Amino acid sequence: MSDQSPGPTESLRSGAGLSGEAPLPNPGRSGFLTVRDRRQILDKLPSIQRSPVLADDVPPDAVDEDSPPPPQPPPPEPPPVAEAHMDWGSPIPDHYAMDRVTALARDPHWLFVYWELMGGRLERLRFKYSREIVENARWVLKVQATPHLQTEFVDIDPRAASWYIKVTPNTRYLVELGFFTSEGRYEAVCRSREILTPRQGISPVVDEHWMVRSEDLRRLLLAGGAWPELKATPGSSDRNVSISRAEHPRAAAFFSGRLLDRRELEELQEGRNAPH
Amino acid sequence: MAEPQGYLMLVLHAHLPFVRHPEHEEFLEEDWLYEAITETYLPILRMLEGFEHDGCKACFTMSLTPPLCEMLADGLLQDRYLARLGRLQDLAEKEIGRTENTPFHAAAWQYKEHFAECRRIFEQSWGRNIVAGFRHYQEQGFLEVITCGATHGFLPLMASEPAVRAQIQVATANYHKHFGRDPKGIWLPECAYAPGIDRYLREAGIEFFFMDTHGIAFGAPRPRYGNYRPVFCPSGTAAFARDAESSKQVWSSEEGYPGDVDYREFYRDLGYDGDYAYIRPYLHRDGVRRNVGLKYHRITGRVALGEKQPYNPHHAREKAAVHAGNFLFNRQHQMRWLNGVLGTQPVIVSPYDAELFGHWWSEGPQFLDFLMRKTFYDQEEVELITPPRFLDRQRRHQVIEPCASSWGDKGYYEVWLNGSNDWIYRHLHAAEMRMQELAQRFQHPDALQERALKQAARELLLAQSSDWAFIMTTGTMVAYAEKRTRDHLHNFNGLFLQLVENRLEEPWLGELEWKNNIFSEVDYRVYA
Repeated sequence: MSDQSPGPTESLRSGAGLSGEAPLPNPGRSGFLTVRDRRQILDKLPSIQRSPVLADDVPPDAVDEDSPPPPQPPPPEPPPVAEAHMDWGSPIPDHYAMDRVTALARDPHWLFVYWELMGGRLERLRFKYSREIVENARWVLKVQATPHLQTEFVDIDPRAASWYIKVTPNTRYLVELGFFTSEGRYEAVCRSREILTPRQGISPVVDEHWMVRSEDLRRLLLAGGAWPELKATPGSSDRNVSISRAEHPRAAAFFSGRLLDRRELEELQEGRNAPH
Repeated sequence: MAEPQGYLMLVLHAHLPFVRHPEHEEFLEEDWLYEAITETYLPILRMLEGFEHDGCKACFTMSLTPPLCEMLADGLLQDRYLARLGRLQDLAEKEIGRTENTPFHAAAWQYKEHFAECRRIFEQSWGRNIVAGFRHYQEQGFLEVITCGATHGFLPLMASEPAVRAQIQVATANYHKHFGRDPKGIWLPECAYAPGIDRYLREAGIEFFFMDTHGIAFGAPRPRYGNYRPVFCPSGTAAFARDAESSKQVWSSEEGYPGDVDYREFYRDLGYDGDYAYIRPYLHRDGVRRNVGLKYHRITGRVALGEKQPYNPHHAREKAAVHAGNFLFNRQHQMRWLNGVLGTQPVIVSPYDAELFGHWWSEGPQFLDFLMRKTFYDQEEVELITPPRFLDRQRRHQVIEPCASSWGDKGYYEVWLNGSNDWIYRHLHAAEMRMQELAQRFQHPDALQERALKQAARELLLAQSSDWAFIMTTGTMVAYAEKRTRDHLHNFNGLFLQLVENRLEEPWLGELEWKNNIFSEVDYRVYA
């Protein structure tokens, strides 16, 4: 007899037929499957471990067919596993019937810009130029650093509805959404409010009543361990300073970890115990 | 008494997002609050109780955010907490028997005693509202409680002045409700500052706030004393900046104290280790194995979870005392050096998430207790201080405009503004504009309109919680964070349309008031 394994316990208990197979033997008049019945079932299931009830050292005719087998306790159910939370919340509008461009400073070097053209301005432009001209135009974000009015045009896809733009620290910007027609004429569509990017580095401005040399301040900050890679040229300007944070106070292992599920906890643990 | 070499300003920031689901008999995310009460807030109150009993005049600063205060004062959540505590006490009693004659017995006794103490402090000492406890210790001089943004909203990424003003003023009013006076200070959510925010603080009567190190260090003009002395903003509000060195000793996942081998291992929990049939009654109804809060192993070292050794509470406590002594020793050296360099006493600002102490770092409250007692009793070089006391003693400070900054990763706003969460801002900003429109339009609302206007303000405030954007970045529980954002925006927009179209549905409004009942006192007119 081949070493064959039982299928899922449920299928044995229920007597349900396996796909493509003849129905399993019916229980005898006692309501239980006999030893012979079980062996017959197992013979049909080649890929499953043998039940210890039917180990090879048990003679096939050891039990009278008409006698019920000893009752077997049902195996314990495995603990359930957390299911993914699939409710992503109630519906919210796709747009708000506005024409707007908003610029947010993410850090000294990046602006995040989003826009919406559902307030009627786009329709008026389509009327002015024709729908085809507007939709085939070269759409841009006009990024203007004030007050020296240095201007850069960033090509965008208006359907994206948002964009990240590389900028410089400690600078005021105005961002305008517009397009160039095929004749090269620029049409402004919508403008943001002025936004100021953060500083990055020791200020070149000194207070005569609270005088401190830039170099002395840099040494003081480095001694505190906050920015081991802080570099400043004499008369430092923001463009010449880089920052690397050795530590930040919201170490993911502490704060976000309280929100991790078990799988993520185990991955984190594996990372902590990885050999060096 | 001789002048100290310097001042140590410990700051604990206690915050949880407002999570309250009366529509469910139990709700998984409410566990955040119950765990924090048992493992952090009650141990801190017990520490303060000890200070008062022993006459130890230590002091520190603690922010208790408005959402946290509202949850702690909420009757439903108090009931649920007590039920949970009761189950923990029942389990702890069984554990005494189960662990007898094993290396885990001492820890089992510690849990039993701890849960009994929790019940005593929660029920008997403060009548279930532990905010009253923190108020008491503030009034006795052990604690300076400061506020935070109303729903921990990320102020620099708000689009309108009324929205920023509302987060500050709703918080101030809520603080007054819980503490009987106006707040003197504020913990800006995530220490997120942009030039001009200090004006709103000044308007609300707030005298000081905290920033990350570079907020002052990169300020203009350059700060004479780096981040080691407070500065005045142009509006007159004082700013204190975090000290990186003392932060690293506690926060660092590699070098910090909490990683010591004798401390309790967080990731070995009876909820996972216990026999399923035994632990099943103490899990949630879905029967999924999760942390129950009883942990019996110590960190041990860089070993697999299965190789962790039994936890010894006495060794852990001794280690906490050693680390407290080490921390104080390092501060003394740091202050001597800084005093020599600066020519004046430095102020070392050491802020931490309160939940680090007790929840993540089980021995954290013991560390704090040892540290503050050692500082008060055993030496005179380092003096514990709070911002109001320091500003009363030393009134002349440099005026600078701080740098836009936060204490998040990379020091600015990227954690709350990136590809995983930037979609929320167009919706939040539109809601800001709509709320302003409502506040201006409805100058004299009738009773039903007033209820709807107040609820609209609540929904907007809850949608603005920066916790949702943070969770989206960390990639944990994202569905819950997105659901909360969308649900509150949906509710807000529904109320907006019903108000402007004059078709308020009272049953729906009543349901929202029942579910999202934060800030009963909210004044929607702050948005006008």
